[in-house]
Amino acid sequence: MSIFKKEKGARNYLTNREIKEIARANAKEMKRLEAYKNRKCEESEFLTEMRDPENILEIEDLHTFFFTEQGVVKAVNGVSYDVPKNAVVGVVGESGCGKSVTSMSVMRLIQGPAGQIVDGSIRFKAYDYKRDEKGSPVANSEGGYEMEEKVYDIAKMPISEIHRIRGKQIAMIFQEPMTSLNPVFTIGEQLDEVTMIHVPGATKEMAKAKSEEMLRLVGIIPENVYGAFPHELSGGMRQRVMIAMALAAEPRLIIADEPTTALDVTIQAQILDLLQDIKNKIDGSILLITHDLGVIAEMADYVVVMYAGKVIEKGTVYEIFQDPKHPYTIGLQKSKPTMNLDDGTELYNIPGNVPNPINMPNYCYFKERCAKCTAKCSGEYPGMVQVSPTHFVACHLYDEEKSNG
Amino acid sequence: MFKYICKRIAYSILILLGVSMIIYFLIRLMPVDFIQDKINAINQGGATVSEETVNAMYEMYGLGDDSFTGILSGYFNWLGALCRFDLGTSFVYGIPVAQVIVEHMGISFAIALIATIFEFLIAIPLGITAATHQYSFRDYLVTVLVMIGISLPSFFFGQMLKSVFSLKLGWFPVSGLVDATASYSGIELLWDYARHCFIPILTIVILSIGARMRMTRANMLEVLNSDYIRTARAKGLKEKVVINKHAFRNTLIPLVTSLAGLIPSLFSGAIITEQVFDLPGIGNVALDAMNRGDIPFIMGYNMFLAVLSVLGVLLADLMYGVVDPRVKLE
Amino acid sequence: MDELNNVQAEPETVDTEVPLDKNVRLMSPTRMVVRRFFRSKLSILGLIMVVSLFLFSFVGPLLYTQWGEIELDESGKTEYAISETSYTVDGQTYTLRQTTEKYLKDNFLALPSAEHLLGTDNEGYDIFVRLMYGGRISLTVSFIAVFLITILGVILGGIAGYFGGWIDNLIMRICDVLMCLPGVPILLIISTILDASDIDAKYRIYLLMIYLTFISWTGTARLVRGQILSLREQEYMVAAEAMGYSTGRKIFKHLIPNVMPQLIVQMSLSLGSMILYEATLSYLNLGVKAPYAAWGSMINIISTNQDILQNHLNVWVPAGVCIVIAVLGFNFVGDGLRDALDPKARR
Repeated sequence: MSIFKKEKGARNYLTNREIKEIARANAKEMKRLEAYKNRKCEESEFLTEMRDPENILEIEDLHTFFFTEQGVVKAVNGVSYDVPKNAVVGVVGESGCGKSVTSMSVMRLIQGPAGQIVDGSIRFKAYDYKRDEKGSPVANSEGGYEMEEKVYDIAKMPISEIHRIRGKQIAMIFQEPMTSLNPVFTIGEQLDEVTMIHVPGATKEMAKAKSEEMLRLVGIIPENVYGAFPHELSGGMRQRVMIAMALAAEPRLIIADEPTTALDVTIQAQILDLLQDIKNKIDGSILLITHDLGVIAEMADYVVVMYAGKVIEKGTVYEIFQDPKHPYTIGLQKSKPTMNLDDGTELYNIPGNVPNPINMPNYCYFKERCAKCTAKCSGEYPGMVQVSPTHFVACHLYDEEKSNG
Repeated sequence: MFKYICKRIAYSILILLGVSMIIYFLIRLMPVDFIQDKINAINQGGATVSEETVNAMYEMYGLGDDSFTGILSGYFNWLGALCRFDLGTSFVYGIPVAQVIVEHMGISFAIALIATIFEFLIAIPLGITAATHQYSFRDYLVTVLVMIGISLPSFFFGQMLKSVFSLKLGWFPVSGLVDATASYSGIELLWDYARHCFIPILTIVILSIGARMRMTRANMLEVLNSDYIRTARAKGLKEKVVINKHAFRNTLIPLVTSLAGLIPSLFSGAIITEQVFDLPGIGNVALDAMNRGDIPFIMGYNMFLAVLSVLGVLLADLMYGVVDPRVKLE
Repeated sequence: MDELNNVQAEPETVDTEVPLDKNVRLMSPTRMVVRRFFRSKLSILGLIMVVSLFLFSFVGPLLYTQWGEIELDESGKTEYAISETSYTVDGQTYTLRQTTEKYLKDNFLALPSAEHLLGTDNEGYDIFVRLMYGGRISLTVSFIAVFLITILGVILGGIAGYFGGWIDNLIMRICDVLMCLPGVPILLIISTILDASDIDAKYRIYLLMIYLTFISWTGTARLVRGQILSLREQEYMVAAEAMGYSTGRKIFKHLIPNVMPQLIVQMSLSLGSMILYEATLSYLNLGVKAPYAAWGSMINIISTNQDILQNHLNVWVPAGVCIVIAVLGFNFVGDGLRDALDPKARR
């Protein structure tokens, strides 16, 4: 009953008029963005060039918003980071900081009409079969097919074209292995499907051989699992199947969205070992999203730290762990439990909560949780400051270094 | 599996016992002289209810003895007869009730079967498009159709159709199953049946489609929001395949289950529709029997319906185990 | 609990420095429900339909008093019958047209006019007025039935879900049996029993609906039981258990309020189906009996009289329209409420 009493204060609640305004504005925006998403257009409209040819994925100034009744939730608010070739990039942050939404945006899996990519670009260097005007692959002289490299701006692709990217170019491993497999199809059917849709001229036998190879790669004996239904497998097994499915089309980039969060600790270790192992075997990059710094330290080459829909620090794994700059990153590392706390010091925790991403102000979002807050912090939101060729941080503490050169 | 089925059957028999008790005691609530009045009315109407039939009924249900033991022994007497598939003799028809039911079941079944087939054929695609285009114009249209379907009273809608198509436009016969003035045979007879049944079937289809459409839509929406659909999309499947293969197969589970549950009820007859169009189906016969106080038929028909619905539940359960790989019947 | 909240809400002085996790003004829960409900045009339409029917049925007869429910228009009616006789005289055929004038006591099947807004039926009753009275019966009876069903369902379902064990088993088995009872045929039997026991035509339908509640509470009971079973597993119920709350407090303060949203939806949807039930029974001449009016029995007239079915649409179509409006209205409202109260709704 206390919920209703609070209303008398009214200060915490939106007025009727505001609600109507929000709804009207939302409806307009959603309609425009849905139309943009569903438009038909020439390929040339979403072809682009990479800024740095060494990268396979460049996210630049990405804005992904959710239009809710309460207001616009700016879940991803101007995020930029790159994924270089054959590298593991780890994205860390508390839950709700927008790290998953960023990866979902890359796959264009944001649920419309409420969730929309509003602005920014996601450039991806695809390596695909060369296709003629009709869309069928061009055969080469050796009986295979010709390949070509193209750079797509995924954010500008109409949704009907996105199947060119998904699965074949970028594959994804999800957080919930228990519910991510279709309960009415066997593991084999679901695995074969990947080969069948992505390899031109694939036959059932080819697909089965490939699926079995993939299952073996993730440490499963195919005979036991190929004909089984998902519910007959444990969570760890299902996650292995998900990984096998992601690998089946030999994608250039695998996005692993908290692949171990829903699993038991012992299984977590196994899955991480598997990912580690696979990282060395495949010719591609991994974008690893997690809130577990330990996992990042073990796996990643580059680290991106996100907070409230923005990137606050990014750099190589050494820079982030040896020389963290942002007070939030420092806090994150201090709050990690270690075994040698025998001097009686308490485990550090960052005070306060993650901000609610509606109506964000234009000053540093971390300001009131920050121990090193200065007068400057009440000013504009800090820009990205380069502290080393690969290390960037968004904090007013380092503004001078920038002006000094 | 076998054990499970046996258990379920035993349980169904228990439910039937409960139902038979309620029906029996409801009948016992009728005063005997009221029954006698009704029998007299039937006799005046031309048919003759033989003394034997009446006496047989009195004996079978143990009517007249209102003491506790009388009621009890009457019930078990009736139950015993039921177990021998003896439903007594109908007053109005003068033949065994079971025979009356069998004779009139065919036409009801044919109409219900055709109506159900159309219902599923139309409702499933519409429900799916409504779900995949949630909040669109199409969705609203389907929602309104659903609502109208479940809100129209069958007698009113049936009469409307009859008034427009049969009386005003004269496209279809007004009532009955065959043209009484002509004697057709072979193909012509079939065509005559079809002409007579078209409007009744149309009525049933339009009225039942709503609920089925709503069920399909709700299921599809739930499936579309699930994680495995996201996985299917992430694999690179085209949206069409995602919906028609991955989502559809999951939506089918409750639909097929409900279809299995419907099979027995196809035999029970649509009382109102048959009354409106004066079709000689089991529902219309039952209504008539009810109005004329044909006690043996009423009891027999009610038990018949109860058996059908118990069977429906049983079939739906078993079907669930067949369609959904997650369900193991134990 | 409430005091604590007030204390927290007090410091309103620091306006500029609201912490970022609390700077958001949300919608109040009640307003969210109201807003979601009114966003759908169909729920607004449904509400309008239901309210106007209520006004029509309950306020209408007070304002429009020209005719009563069972008041025949005895202003009389002259029926003209034309008979032709032809006979031949000297090879010439003559036709004799004879008009016979027949005076009838009741003004039946009158066309709509200022006198009778929708005309009169085959007996001479004013249709417009009978529509209002029929609405009264329909709405009252349905409300009573739904109210009783809900009470019965909540009590039995609550007992089954809360106490579990053999009592749960017993109640659920009774549910199974009742669910296998054929609905309309059983009501036919009950109606025959009522016929046998000479009940005043006015109260018959009430009794019939009360019988109906005895076989219709199963849906509500299952809903309540299911909800309570799932709620019992929730942490806050475990907390209530740990705090040593009494059973009554647990049920009425914690469980019932949580079942309320679904109950409200179920109630508004079953109001629609009860109206349909009542209309069907009256149509089969089992519910409200002559001379009293019910929407269903106003349509029943045509099942014996094809002339009215074809040529006097004003006699039976308005009643059907009223039924449709009532059922559709309650269904729209129920659907709107379901969407509004669903916490998982995304839009």
